Amino acid sequence: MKLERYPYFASNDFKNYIFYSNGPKGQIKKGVRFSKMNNNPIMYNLAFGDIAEGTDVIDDMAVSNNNDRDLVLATVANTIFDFTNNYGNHYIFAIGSTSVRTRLYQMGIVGLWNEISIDFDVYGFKDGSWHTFQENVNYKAFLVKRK
Amino acid sequence: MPAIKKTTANGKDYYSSAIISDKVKGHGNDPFVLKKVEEAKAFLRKNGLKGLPGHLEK
Repeated sequence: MKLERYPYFASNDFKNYIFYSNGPKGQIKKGVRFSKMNNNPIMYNLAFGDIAEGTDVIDDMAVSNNNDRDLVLATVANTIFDFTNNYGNHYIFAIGSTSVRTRLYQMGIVGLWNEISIDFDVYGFKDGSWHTFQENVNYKAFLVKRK
Repeated sequence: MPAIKKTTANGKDYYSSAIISDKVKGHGNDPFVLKKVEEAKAFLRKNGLKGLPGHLEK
């Protein structure tokens, strides 16, 4: 994946990542955490959000609006590479905390689709089942798997 | 920061620039993360895997 992205830092176990968004709202610390959620097939949940100063915990209810959505998403996508390099090529589950946030994820995936689709199979959940991701369809949740 | 090119066992190239740091704390017990994992499990229990490769039937 050759998308422009922010430099990012990983914990020793490659399950936690941080990076800094830079934009009109200043520097905002972002965190990504992969947590196992299913054994058959093996599936990890991707939790992503801002890390508020002082709390040092991830929370995705903040709306940063730092005008760098694609850069942020590309950085998150790269963390999937690092994670899967260490834990295997398993499904990564992602859903927004709200339908609006899920829609933002969708728009982000669409915006980077030309690059994302080279390296990842992406599935979206709609009408009771999972479907191969299509750009013009709204989904409730996403599963991503490295090719 | 330049990307580092590596090659996986299956011969595919990938780019990684993750910097390993002791300062990256574990977020596995963050309330938001725990809530997201439980919600994700509940979503999967409710909706299953139908439609995924190898999981055509629920």
